[in-house]
Amino acid sequence: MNAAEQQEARWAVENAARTSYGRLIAIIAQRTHDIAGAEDALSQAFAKALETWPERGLPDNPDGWLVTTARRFAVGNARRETLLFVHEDHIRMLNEERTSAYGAPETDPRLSLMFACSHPSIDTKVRAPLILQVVLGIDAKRMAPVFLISPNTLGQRLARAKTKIRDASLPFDLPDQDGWRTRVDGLLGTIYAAYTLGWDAEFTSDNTLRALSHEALTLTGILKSLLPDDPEVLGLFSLMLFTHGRRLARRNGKTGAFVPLSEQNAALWNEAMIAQAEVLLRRAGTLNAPGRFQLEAAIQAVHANRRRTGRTDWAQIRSFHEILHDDLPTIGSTVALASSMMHDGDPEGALRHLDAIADNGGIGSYQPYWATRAHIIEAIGEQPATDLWQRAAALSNDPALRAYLLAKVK
Amino acid sequence: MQYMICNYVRANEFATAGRPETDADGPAWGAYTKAMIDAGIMVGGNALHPSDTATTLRIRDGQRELVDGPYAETKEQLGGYYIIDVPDLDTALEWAARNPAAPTGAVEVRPVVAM
Repeated sequence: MNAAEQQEARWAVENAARTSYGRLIAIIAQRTHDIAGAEDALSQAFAKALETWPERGLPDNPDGWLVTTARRFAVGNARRETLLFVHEDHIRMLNEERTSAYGAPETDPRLSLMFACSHPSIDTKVRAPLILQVVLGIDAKRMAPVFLISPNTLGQRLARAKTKIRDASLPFDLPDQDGWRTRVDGLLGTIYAAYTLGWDAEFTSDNTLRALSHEALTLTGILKSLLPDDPEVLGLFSLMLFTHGRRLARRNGKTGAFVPLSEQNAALWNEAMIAQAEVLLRRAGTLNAPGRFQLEAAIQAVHANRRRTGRTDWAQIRSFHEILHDDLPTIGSTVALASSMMHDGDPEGALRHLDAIADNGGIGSYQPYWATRAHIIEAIGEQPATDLWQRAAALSNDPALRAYLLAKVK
Repeated sequence: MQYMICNYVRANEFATAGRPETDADGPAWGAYTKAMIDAGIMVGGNALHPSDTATTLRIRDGQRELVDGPYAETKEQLGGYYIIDVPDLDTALEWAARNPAAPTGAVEVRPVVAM
C-alpha cells in the first residue's frame, strides 16, 4: 500500500471508532451482557485494525471485521481470566457470526444498550455518564469535570454499573409494551441530564469538554433515528436544538459577560437549528401524545418566537409551567413556575409559590431558587434583596454568572 | 464527613495585607463564605496573608534550615482554607466548584481524618 492508502486506512479505523463505537459495543455485549469486556475487546480490535488495515487494505465490511476480531479477543480475554476452555463457545460464536444477518438487524442493538444503561436499577447519578461512555466511547477522565465527580470515583462507579449489568443480566431486550413509556422517558431524562450538565459546564471547561452537550445532542439524534415516531423523543430533540441554537448569544462576545435569555440578541441565534426545532415540535404535536419534553420544547418555542415578534409571551410560558408543575411538583418546576409568574407581572403570586417550598432542605444549595427569589423580592420592592443576590452568586459555579449576580448587589 | 477546601490563588491576587477592599474577588469570597454558613456546613476556616510573609523551617541531617517564603514557589499559593462538613465528596466538589479561586487558581479538596 502507498502512503495515501495507508493514511486512508488509518482514517477508516478512526471513523469506525467515532461513528460505530456504540453499535459495535452493543453487538459484542448483546449476548454476554459484559459491557466492560466488550470495551476491552473492541479497543484491542481497534489496535489490531490500526496495525493491519494500513498494511493489507480495508476489509470489505470494516464493522463486521471489528466485531469478529473483538469477539475473538473477548474469548481470549475470558480464557485468560477464568482459565476455562471456551473453544466450543468460540466455534459457536463464529458460526453464529456466519449465520446471523449482521448489518441488517431488526432493531439497532444500540437501543437495547441505551435501555440497559438507563435501567431503573442503575444508580441515577451514573446513568448519564454510563450511556455517554458506552454508546459514544467517551472516557471517564473527560466526563469527570462536567459531572463534577472525581475521575477515579467516576471510573469506579462506571465499572460497578457495568458489573451490575453483567451479573444481574439486566435485560438487553427492548422493554415490553407496559413498561415502554416509562423506560423511554427514563432514557430521555438520562440523555437530557447529560445535555444540561454539558450546557452548564460550557464556559467553565476547556474545549474538549464543551463538546459534551454536542455529544448528548448526537445521542438524541441517534435515538431519533431509532424511534422516529416517538413524540417525546422528537420533543427532547426539539428542546435541545432550541437551546443549542442560542449558544452564541449566552455571553457578550466582547467582554464574555453573562447575558440572561430575556436580554439575548435574537440575531445571534442559529436560525437553521431553531427552525429545525420548530419543525420537530410541530411533528411531535401531530402525534397527539403530549409529554414533559414537548412542553419544555414548547416553552423554548415561545422564547424563540421573540426573533419574529420582538416580544416574549410570558402568559403562554406561565401556562406551560403550570402544567409541568401540576404534573410533577418538584423544587425545579416550582422555581421555574415562579419565575414565569414574575415575568408575567405577578411577583406576589410567584413569591407564594417559593414560600411554599421554603422549608424544603433541597433549596439550600439550589442556585436558581435564590436568584429567582432575589428577582421577585426586587420586583415587589418592599425589602432589600441584597442577601439573596449574594447567596445566588455564591451558589453559582460559573464565574460570569457569579459576576452578573454580584453586580445586582447595590 | 469533613473536608478541607484549600484555596490556591495566584500570587498577585492576594489582598494587600489588612485591606480586604483591595481584593477584586472580595465580595465573591464574602458571599461564598456566608453561603456555606447559611447552608449549615461550615466548620471553620481562615484567610491567610500572602505567601511572602511565610517562614519555612526544615531539619536536615540534624541541621535546622530556615528560609523566608513558602515551602515551595509555585504560581498559585495557599490563600486560605475552609473546613466543611458534608455527606460525601460529590457534595464537597459542588462547593469547590463555586470557590472564587477556581477560575484563576486551583481548589484542592481533601478529606479530614476523623479523630
